[in-house]
Amino acid sequence: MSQVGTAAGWEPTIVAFCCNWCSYAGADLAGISRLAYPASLRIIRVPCSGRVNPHFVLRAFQRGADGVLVAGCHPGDCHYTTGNYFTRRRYLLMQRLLEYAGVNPGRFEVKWISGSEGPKFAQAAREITARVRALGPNREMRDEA
Amino acid sequence: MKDNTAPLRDKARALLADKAACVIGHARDRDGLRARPHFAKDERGVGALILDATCHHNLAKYLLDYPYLEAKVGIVLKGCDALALERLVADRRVDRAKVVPIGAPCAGMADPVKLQALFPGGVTAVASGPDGFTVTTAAGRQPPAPRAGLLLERCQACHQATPPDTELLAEPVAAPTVGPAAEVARISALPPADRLSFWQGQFSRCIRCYACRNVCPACSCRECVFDQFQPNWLGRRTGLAQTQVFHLTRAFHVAGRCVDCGECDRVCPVGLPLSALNRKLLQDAGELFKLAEPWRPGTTEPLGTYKLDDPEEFM
Repeated sequence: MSQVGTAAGWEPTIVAFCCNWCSYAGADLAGISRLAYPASLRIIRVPCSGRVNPHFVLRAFQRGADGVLVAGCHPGDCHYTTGNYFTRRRYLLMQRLLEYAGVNPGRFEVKWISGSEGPKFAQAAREITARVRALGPNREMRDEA
Repeated sequence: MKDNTAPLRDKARALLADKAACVIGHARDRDGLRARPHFAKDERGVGALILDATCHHNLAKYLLDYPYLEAKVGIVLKGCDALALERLVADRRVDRAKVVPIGAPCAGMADPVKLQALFPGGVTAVASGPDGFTVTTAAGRQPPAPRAGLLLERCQACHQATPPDTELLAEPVAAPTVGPAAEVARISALPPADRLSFWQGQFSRCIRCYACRNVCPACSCRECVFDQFQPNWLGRRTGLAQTQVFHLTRAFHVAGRCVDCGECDRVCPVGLPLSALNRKLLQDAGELFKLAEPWRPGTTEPLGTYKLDDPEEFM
């Protein structure tokens, strides 16, 4: 992952895990609707938000991400019926653990974005980018460059 | 625990006569303050077994060394160790039918470091009675010392003093009632920057020896992610960020499955407060998903199930 320095004009790097069935389609829709959103997101397509191992999130931070977004189908709408219910439990705990370990919880977010919610995806991207930009580069859990 | 050595040896002898392969217990280590795990297979081995207030080790995980044995294995279990056995059985790593638990009611273990400070001249034996720990030194038997100040850290928050549904070596005892350590609340109350520097300070001392994983009864995967090269989940460097990821992942892997036996704290060679991570997850899982903490036999692991009305705090 590109290691962005703290020079002027620093922009955050945000890793976004998007589920294939909803959020990735939502991101696609934001694109084809020509909605502007920050270029700080690096989207990784996963089959389901339940595929996102908590280790992926920690590892993203360690390898230089300034923020992590996990996006999946709304509860009840999972392509695999129940995957996102497990995601929800997992990241409720994860968010609190990150906070407890001293990582600013604003760096991590879970969003439910359906395939028809292009504007919501763009909005989520703007929100997390603005928040992480305000927090500055990730110094909490990151390999020394 | 009072000195239950004699009934233990009788029981072990009977088990070995009944074709048990081995009795896992404790033996005296280099001084009277410490014990070590001991595997009694014959009369000589039985003669070395001890059971007193220095037998800290949770022996349950040694059962993984006997996966294909036809014969049964006897094992000494304190209250907390019995939960560890249940954990291994629930994870289908140990066949309960092959295990003969020897229940050891335990009123709390003595902390060797605290005892050493109190008796710098050395200790030959530590027994536990109703009035506290009775320490024997070279000068002879000392008057009982109050338990509260000498207990191991983890015993102050005892969840289970006597193993349930097990043949006991002695009468059941009450759990020490010192009250749980407030470590989690203390760390949570720190300002975020201090919390970060607290944990970074702790993790920077970690040597990645994996003792915490090796001893943990909830960490019993046949192949651990931290041993795999393909995929390379985590590098072998001991950089701070890698160590943070290691510890948070390790804690997450036992989230809600931890039996809070405190062995991770005991084995850590640099003394990291690892149970403060595990307890945090236990408390959060209990609060968010309305579960008993720590894990109890017969309940589902919090991350292995879901409810339709789980909270959505930040999503």
